[in-house]
Amino acid sequence: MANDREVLREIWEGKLPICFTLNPDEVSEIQQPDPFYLMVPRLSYFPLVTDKVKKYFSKFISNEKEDQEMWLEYDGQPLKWHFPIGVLFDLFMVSQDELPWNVTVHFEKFPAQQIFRFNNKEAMESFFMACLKEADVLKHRGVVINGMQKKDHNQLWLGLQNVKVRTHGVVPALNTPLQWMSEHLSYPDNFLHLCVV
Amino acid sequence: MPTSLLFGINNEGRVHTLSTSGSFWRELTYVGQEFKKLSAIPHFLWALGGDHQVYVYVHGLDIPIKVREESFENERWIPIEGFSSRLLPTDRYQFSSADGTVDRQIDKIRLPSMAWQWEGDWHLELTLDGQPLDHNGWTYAIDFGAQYSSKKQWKSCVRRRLWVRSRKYVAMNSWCAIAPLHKDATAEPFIDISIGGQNIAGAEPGSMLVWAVTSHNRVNRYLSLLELKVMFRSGVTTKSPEGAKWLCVTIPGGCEVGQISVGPTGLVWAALLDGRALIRVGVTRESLMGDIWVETRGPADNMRTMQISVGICAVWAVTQDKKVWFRKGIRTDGAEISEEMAVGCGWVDMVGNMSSISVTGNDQVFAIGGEDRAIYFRTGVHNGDLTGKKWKCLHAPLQVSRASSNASLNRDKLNNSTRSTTSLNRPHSLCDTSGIGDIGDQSHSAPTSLPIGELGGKHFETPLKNPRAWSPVRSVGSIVGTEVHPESDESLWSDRQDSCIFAEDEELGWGEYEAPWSWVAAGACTIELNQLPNWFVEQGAMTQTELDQPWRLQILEELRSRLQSQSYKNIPLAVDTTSWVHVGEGRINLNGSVYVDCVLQLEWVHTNGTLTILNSDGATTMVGAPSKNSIWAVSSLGDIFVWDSKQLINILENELYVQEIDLTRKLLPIKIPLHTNCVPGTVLLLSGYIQDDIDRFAINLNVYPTFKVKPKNFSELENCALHFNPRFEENVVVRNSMIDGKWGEEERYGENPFTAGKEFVLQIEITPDDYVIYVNDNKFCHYRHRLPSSSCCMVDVWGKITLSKLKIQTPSIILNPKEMLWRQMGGHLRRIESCAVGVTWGIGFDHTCWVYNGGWGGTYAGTLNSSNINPMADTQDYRVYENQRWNPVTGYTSAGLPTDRYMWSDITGKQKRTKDQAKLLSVHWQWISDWLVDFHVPGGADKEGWQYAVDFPSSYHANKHFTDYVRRRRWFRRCAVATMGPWTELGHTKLLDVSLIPLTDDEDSPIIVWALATGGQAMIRSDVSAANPSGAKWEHVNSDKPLSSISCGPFNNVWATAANGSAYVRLGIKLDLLQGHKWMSIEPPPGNPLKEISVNEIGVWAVSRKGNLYVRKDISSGWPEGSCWQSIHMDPLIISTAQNTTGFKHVSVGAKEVWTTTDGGVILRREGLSKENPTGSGWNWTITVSEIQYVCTVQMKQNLELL
Repeated sequence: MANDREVLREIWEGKLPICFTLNPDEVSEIQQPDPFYLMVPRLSYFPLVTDKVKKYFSKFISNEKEDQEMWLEYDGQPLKWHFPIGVLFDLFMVSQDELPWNVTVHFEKFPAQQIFRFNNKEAMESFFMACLKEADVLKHRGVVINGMQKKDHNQLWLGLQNVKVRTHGVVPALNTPLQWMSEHLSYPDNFLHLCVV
Repeated sequence: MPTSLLFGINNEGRVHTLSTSGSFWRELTYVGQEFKKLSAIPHFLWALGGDHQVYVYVHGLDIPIKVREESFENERWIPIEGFSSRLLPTDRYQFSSADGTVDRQIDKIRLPSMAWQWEGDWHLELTLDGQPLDHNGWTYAIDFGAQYSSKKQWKSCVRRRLWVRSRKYVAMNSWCAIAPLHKDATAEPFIDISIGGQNIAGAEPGSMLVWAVTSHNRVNRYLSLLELKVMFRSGVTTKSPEGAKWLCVTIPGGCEVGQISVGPTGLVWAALLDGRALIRVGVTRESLMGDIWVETRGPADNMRTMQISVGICAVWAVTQDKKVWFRKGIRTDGAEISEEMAVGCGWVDMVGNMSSISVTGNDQVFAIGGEDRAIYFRTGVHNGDLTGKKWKCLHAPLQVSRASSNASLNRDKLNNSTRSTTSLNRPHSLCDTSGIGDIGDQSHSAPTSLPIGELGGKHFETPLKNPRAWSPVRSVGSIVGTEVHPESDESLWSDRQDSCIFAEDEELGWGEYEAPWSWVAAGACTIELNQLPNWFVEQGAMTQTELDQPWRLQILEELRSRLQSQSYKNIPLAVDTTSWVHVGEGRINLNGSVYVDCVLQLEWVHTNGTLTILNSDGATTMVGAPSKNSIWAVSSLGDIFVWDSKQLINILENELYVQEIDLTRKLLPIKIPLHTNCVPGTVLLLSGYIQDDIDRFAINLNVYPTFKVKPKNFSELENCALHFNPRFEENVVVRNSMIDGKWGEEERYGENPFTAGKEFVLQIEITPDDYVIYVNDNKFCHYRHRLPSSSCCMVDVWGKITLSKLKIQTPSIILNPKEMLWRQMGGHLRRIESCAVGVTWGIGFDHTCWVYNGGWGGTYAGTLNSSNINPMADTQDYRVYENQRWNPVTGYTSAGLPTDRYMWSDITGKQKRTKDQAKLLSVHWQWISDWLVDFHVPGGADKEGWQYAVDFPSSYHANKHFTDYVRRRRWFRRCAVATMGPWTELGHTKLLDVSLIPLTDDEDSPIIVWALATGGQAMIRSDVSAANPSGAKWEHVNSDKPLSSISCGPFNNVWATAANGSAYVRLGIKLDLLQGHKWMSIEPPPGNPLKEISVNEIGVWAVSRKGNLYVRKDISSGWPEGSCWQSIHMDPLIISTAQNTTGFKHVSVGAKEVWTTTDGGVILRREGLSKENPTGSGWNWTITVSEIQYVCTVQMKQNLELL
């Protein structure tokens, strides 16, 4: 069990400022809406925190599109919102200086090929539980990690060491023990998400 | 969970204890004796000393252990001589036991050991069944064995009297040595000891089993033979902690027992030196020693078992290679332990490397690590998985003992220094594991482990130089050390951690000093998995080195540097986890009649909200803890209800209760109940309009009718305190009273002040002497009381008038019992007691005492609770009676006569009850036992639990007489409830009854608490106050007879009833002597032994076993015992209307109120009580049967008047 409360506290309270902008093509009103700013938890998921965003922007789109599902895009790519927000941010963003994160909101042309549909929070929850179980099997019961010997662990890590990784917006030192990272830096879905940069 | 204790012996042989509510090891006062082994059950420790002798330690009992020795002196009447001590040869001994079979010569009755002391001298018992005897205490009978009576008659041929003397166990809280087996203590040293057997199915409460192993060195001419013997200590009970004597239990040939363990249910396992194990089977309530040994294989072949520890459904063992083993298939919680269940079916190899193991009374497991000598707890052990999950290390700092001469040494140890030389004198053999089991060695070296230099080798022959260091040789039972007084060593046994009074320990300090332990004894410890004590630190603790690693510091630094910019602080949070409070005003209808102003407060903390309803002052809660002026009740199902006097919405004007009753459009005649006592100072104001065609009308103040009970029916005789009857044709107002249906003399002076066709206002003022009557604000007349005005209960109006309103102003509370709103409170209790400053105590069905902690809510309320809701547990027994009838052919069978009761029934025989039908009340209940025969029934039972009688229903007795045609036995099955409630458990002493009363009227007044322990011993609790509702500790108050109920009124007024039905009043209570000095016996009403008593300012009320209610008359400060019992009847109306009500069940007396419950579950309020009329005049129903089926206890808070 992890008990480094200083670190855990920082991890669990990590937040990101996000600036949501409605795709200008979809605006039905004459005036462009102001961007919507929101402070979101790094460990949470977009479908869980964007109710306010949807409500705000739905006033500015044509009525028939109001019922369509909202999706998010950054830099021309749909955000794979089944990952925790912090992971997505670490994937796309190079430095903290680019905050707030500018995310574009879409209501049309849902890219069903690329991202999951989360019509409601229950869908998100069941996806999350699936992740958790997967991680649990891998971490505790599965043969994957347990079956690996110490040298395999090291090898796995050494493989990662050739590149810089980032998680939670930080770049851990290369000699950080993997076990410690797994205990302290995992996301709630129990995966340690490392973004290669 | 009550606190319990874990015991351990460290490497120096010092005994330490760790409380489940604490987190520090404390050392038992060191008295110069080291210990090797320890076995514990709650309150009793048996230990093997370093000298290989056995010691007993009794601790933590609030009630002293006392035994009353009795001897009957018998005499026979001989012509001419009169009564003489010369008896017939066929007669009993001159001094005998009650049944005459045992010689009880007074001068031959000795103290069993030095651990006992006499309390006073032999004296005569001067009462018989509560009735006083003459000064010589003789009781007379026609012959020995017949019925004795207090009166001498012409046919009285024999007489006897009872001599009594009490002895007390004075070795409480200190080590008491058990006499060695031989004069030379070294001849047969003990090598193992075990105590258990506190839960043998059906056994007498308080029985215990002690088993031991000795090593007898038998030397003959050629060789010295070592014989290992198994010993059983007979007669060990809570009344006789040391037991009577050692009995040698033969073991099968070729078996050499090295270690023995007895579990709570009496199961005994013994480890043999060759690795096998012996199991004692046939342990029952009748044969505590068991019958035979059964042999089984040990955990590992050719591997010696070092230790076996027995629980209820678990047996654990440790072998020589420090491996841990679990025996599966053990089950001893049933009625009888079968051989199969006692032996189990196989050993399971467990992980861990342990040197010693101990199982608690609920099958939890503690062990000592094989290498690190730390104490480990097995986590995850529960009924479904008795093997548990993993070993968890205990981390509790050790208190350095005051008494320890090497305190400085321990302090050094804290600083990681090396051992100082002082410790070198101490025997360290205990660290040496190989020594523990090495019998050959130890048996020869028994006494040498005593401290060198203090006694020397031949201390047996020399007088003791140092009385603190001690060996048991000289006497039968000696006390080591002195009795530890609670004042000086309270913290060890106290429930409260903050009561530590070892101020000097601060400087000695507590250390994270991990003592190497040599022994752990968990038998006295009860651990609940969901409430683990604060003994463990989280595993995987970060080491300082890890905290200082650069990679960690870098990550933390980077994490912290994220989002430092202040520019984002105005961005709203997507997930709002802040806390806030919103307050609004509203009106609420709580009691179903009137809306009152209130303040609603919604508090949001992170993800949870709490709605609080406050009074309009915004400070006190409306829902929530009841105010101190509340009435508490518990139902027979154990549910708790409270009625808060704050519900009363009577407007208070000038210290008076005021009620206005709107009477417009009400038709006459009308009867308006007053719901108050019309004490002096009461004013009734009636206004209305007199019709034009009036001839006469009347306004009556009615009193409860008098009931004349005749066989089979009753007549009701009306009573009227004031009949006010204006007659227009005679131009007069007639005043009169009716007593028992007869009118008295009329008063008619004065003219009729009323005018037809006009409005009128009639005002009746009640003064101590008379009614003063005003008509239209003019005084009209006085009318002297002929009946006590306080008993007026109703205004009765008839005639051609219309009424507009009645206004009642009274100093007495106005309370309509039918409008009382009873609110449920969480928890499960059998009795509840409260007092005027709001301190409330409850007693569960299992006699556990609970203190109300000011919270509200509970399991019934779901999540709507206050924060101080605690888990509560309680047990109840389901009982069924098995009835049988004798017939000449087949003997007793379950084939009864057609007219007989059900063969499986309740106690009355009227209801059919079978074992299969018993259903638990709710999902919160679960069975914790099987159906068992109850051997402890009133009247006694034979070996199979049967009670015999001539016929159903009759008086049952234990032995079959030739006239007995029926028999019955009682089965019981215990179930337990797990619930929640705003209650805090008070210590481990079980209570029968409790009573509370504040000393003064102040808020912070000390509260006098009298209580009875389950044995009927009286106690008072010190330091109870509103600020400290639990108080500090119990102080025992001597009483000759076991008491059954106790009650205290204003502080010097303490009454009790004894188990024999008589009443007692405590004399000599003063402010500086709150326990008083003497009980004074008071005869119960003839033929009506008392069951329960309740006392307060208003008087002393008692309920008899037959369900009659009595008031003690003429009590005054100079004559505290009063004069006689006055019987108070239940109205025939109540008996005829209330279902199942035949008598009173319980009475509760407040300062100005008396409430009772009936056996049919109705709560009654006595009305018409006043100083002038202390017995009141009538009953008023509060809860009708349909609403709460089984209210069995109501306790009244005093001072309902002070809202």
